Formats: sequence, structure tokens, C-alpha cells
Amino acid sequence: MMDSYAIYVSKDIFKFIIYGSIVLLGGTVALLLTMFFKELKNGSLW
Amino acid sequence: MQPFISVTTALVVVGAISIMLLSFGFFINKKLIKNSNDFLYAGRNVGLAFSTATLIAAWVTGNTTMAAPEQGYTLGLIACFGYASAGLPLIIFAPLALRIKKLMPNGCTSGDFIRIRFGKAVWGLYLLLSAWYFLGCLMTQAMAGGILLQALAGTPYLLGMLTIMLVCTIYTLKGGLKAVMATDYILSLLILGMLFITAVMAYTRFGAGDVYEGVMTLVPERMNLITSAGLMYLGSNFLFAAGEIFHSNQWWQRVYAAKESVAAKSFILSGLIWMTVPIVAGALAFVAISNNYVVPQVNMVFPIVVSQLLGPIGSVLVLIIIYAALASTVSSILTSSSNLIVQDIFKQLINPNISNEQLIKYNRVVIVALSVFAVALTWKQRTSMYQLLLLTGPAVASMVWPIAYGIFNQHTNRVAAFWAMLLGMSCGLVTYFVISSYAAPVVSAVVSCLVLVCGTALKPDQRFRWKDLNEVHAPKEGA
Repeated sequence: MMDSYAIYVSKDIFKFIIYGSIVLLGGTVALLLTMFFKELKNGSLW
Repeated sequence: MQPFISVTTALVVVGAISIMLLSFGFFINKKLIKNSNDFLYAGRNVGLAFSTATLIAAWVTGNTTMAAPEQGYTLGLIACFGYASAGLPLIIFAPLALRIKKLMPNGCTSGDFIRIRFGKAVWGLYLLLSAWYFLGCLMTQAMAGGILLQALAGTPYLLGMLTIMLVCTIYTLKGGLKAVMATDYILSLLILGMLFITAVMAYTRFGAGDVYEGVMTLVPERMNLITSAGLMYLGSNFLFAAGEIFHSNQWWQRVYAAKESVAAKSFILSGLIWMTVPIVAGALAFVAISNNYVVPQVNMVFPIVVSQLLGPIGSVLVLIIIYAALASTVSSILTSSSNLIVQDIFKQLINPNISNEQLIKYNRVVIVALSVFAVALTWKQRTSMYQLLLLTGPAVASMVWPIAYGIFNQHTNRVAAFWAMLLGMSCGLVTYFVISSYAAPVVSAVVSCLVLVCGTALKPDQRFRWKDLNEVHAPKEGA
């Protein structure tokens, strides 16, 4: 059953959410690797 | 339902990850564990990379990747945001993490704070609620291991359940939190990396625009951002997650382990990163909707979509993602709950002069005991287990305000804190059975907040001093 009130996501916003999240996810992998190697080099891993 | 991959493939994948985890455990035990601070707090000097990764890995559970697509499929995009809202408490916890590091630089458990700040009555209640939560969590993760392999490869339930518990117990036993943090780093890369590859492959094949058109044609309400069920789920999930993070020793142990300069940063970063996981995983449900995939079991949307899209490779990716998520969560629960039991029960009530070596030894005994207990309770697959975990929602949500308020307000009334937890949980449980499971954490948190704030306003505590919290001393090296 449809709710009485509705705010539908537009196509552009949907695309922005999906592609944005995927890019962020990929970026975080790169970020974690960068942080690891930087701290490994500085000897500050733990 | 037909298995997605062969038993041999599943065993090779699980075997390879297990060997990697065990190797880390043995290597770290041999090279990096010198004292109980290394075993229990990873040396208390952990940098940003490991600190952030371990928070992500511990918070991405089997549910994150399986339930987010399920919720997206049944409730729509708002439910994906609802699931992602569970990352916000990690960010909100950041100032608390910084404050904990300043107030209790030598703190050992979350129980330390509760005991010193609020007294023994609240501490006792806290330990009971905490044990209910961590046992429920451990059992659901153990069961998820069995169900995962059974669903993906058709292996017997016990094989998957025993494998995940045995592997996690052994590497946690050998290397303690240091091994858990090192493996969490690898596991978080595996989870994020594999999910990234899956999403790229899925959305390269079906563009987001086409998926949107398909959903709007077939089930447009999935794109409605203000469905009542979706909004209730969002509020409930946020408060449940806040309760889990604020009270659980999993997160406090990681605060004590991190360097002071990275404690808050790692919580903010991990929260932001974590939120992308349920959105990306949940978004795969829209591919299923727009392509009219047959989904015989709604809780299997994620493997069904990925295997239909990517074939056997997709199923292997699903297995890696979920096995990694389960392993990191199980090991995290084992280290944090064994630490809580030994430090808060054995050290406080039985032997306050426990030595460094005894601490490690007793922690190892408790890790094994907890694993055996969880295995015994989940030997038979229980259908009501997830409901049991949902029941902890009111319990954990009732602890959010006493902990947050107690960390920042010196005059927080300790009697009010006790009643806030008890009444919040009781009202939440009544709501759970009378109204709905979604409303339960909301009612619990609201009642708890009202009782605490009113009690403190009427009779502010005058006895407590912040320096009292610094009375906790970790055992000296070699003691």
C-alpha cells in the first residue's frame, strides 16, 4: 500500500548516491592503504 | 534453493582466509606479544590505519552485507539510509573517545567507567545487560557462519559454524587484540575491496539510470524517502546502533588501544567509511527489482543478485565478504568480552592483585569458554536467534544517555542512572511486545533520557570528581 505522503528520489540524485558511494568505497581502500604505508614508513603503526 | 558454488570452491576460499588469519595469530604471538598491554590493548599506541580499519571491520557484521540489501528490497532506498545511519554513532562517539582517553589514560574496560562513575548497583546492571548483548551477538555470528556456507555451497550447517568459531578462537587466543587488529586491517580491505569490485561490475552492466527507471516502473514506492516503515526503521536502527557502540567494551577497548591523537579521528573516519557499505550493498537490491529477479528467500537477496549478475565469481566474492565480516566481528567480541569478564569480575571481585601473566592466561581461558558456550548454544540452528538479538535493542539503547551524560556532566545522579537504565529497558521491552520491535529502542532511549535528566536536575551528584576515574591502573609490565 502506498503511503499518503511521498518524496521520490529523482534519477540524478539516485545516480549521484549510487556512483558517489561506489567511488567513496573505492577511495577508502586507497586511503587505508596510503595510511598504512605512511605509518609503516614513520614507524608509527603501533 | 540450489547452492551457488561447489563445496570444493567454498572450502578452498574459507581455507585460504582461515590459514591467513591463523598465520597472523601465530606470527604476532611469537614476535609482538611481550606483555598484557600488547595482548589486551595492542600496546596502547595504535596508529590511525589500524585503529580505523579495526573499527570498520568490527562494525561490518554479517548482517551489514546481508540485511542492508534485504531492507532495500523490502522497504526501499530509505531503508538503505536507515541501515547506513548505524555509522553515525561511530562519529558521535568520537568526542567521547577523546574524553575517555583524557579521563582514563590507563583504563581497562567500559565497566571501569560505569563502576567508578555510577557505583556498584549500576555496574552490576551494566554487566548483566552487556553479557546478554555480547552472548546474543556471538551466537548470531556463529550461526551466520553455518547458514552462510550452507546457503552458498550446501555444506552441513555445523561445518560452517564450527569453522568460523574454531579459526577465530585460535587466532584470538594466540595474538590477542594485536592479532585481531592486524587481521582486521586485512579483513576490512577484503570487505571494502570485494564489495567495490562487485558494485562496479553490477553497475557497469546495468547503469544506475536504467536501474532507476526499472524500479520506478515496477515498484516506485521503493524510491519514496518518507515511507512510515522506512522512517521508523531509520530511527530505530540509529538508536540501537548508538546503544551498541556506547556501551560495548569492543569500542572502549579500541579507544584504550589507540594513540590519544588518533582516537577521535579514527571513529569519525570509520563512521564515514562504514556508511558506504550498507548503501552500496543495499543498492544491489534495486538491480534485482529492476530486472525482476526471482528472489525465493528475501534474506538471500545479496548472494542471489550477485550470483545472477556475476556467476560463480560473484558467489565467491559474496563468500569472501561475509566470511571476512563474520571473522572480524567474532574475534572482536571474543577479545572484548573476555577482557570485560576477567577485569570486571575476576579482578574486581576475586583477585585484585592479579599479575600480568595471569591476566593473559585467564583471558585465554575465558576466550575458550565463551567459544565453547556459544558453540553449544548454537549447535542446533535456532530460528528465533535474530529475534533474541533484536530484544537486546531496548537494553543497549537504555545505556546511551547514562554513558554520554556521565562522561560530560560531573553532577550526573548515579541513582537516576540506575533507574534510567532499568526503566528505559523495561518500557522498551513492553513496547517491543505490545507495539513493534522498531519502536522499542526509541522508547527505551527517550524514557532513559527523561529519567536521567530529571533525576540529575532534582538532585545533582556532589560526590564524584573526574580524577576518581584515573584511579584505574593497568598492570605494570613484567609485574
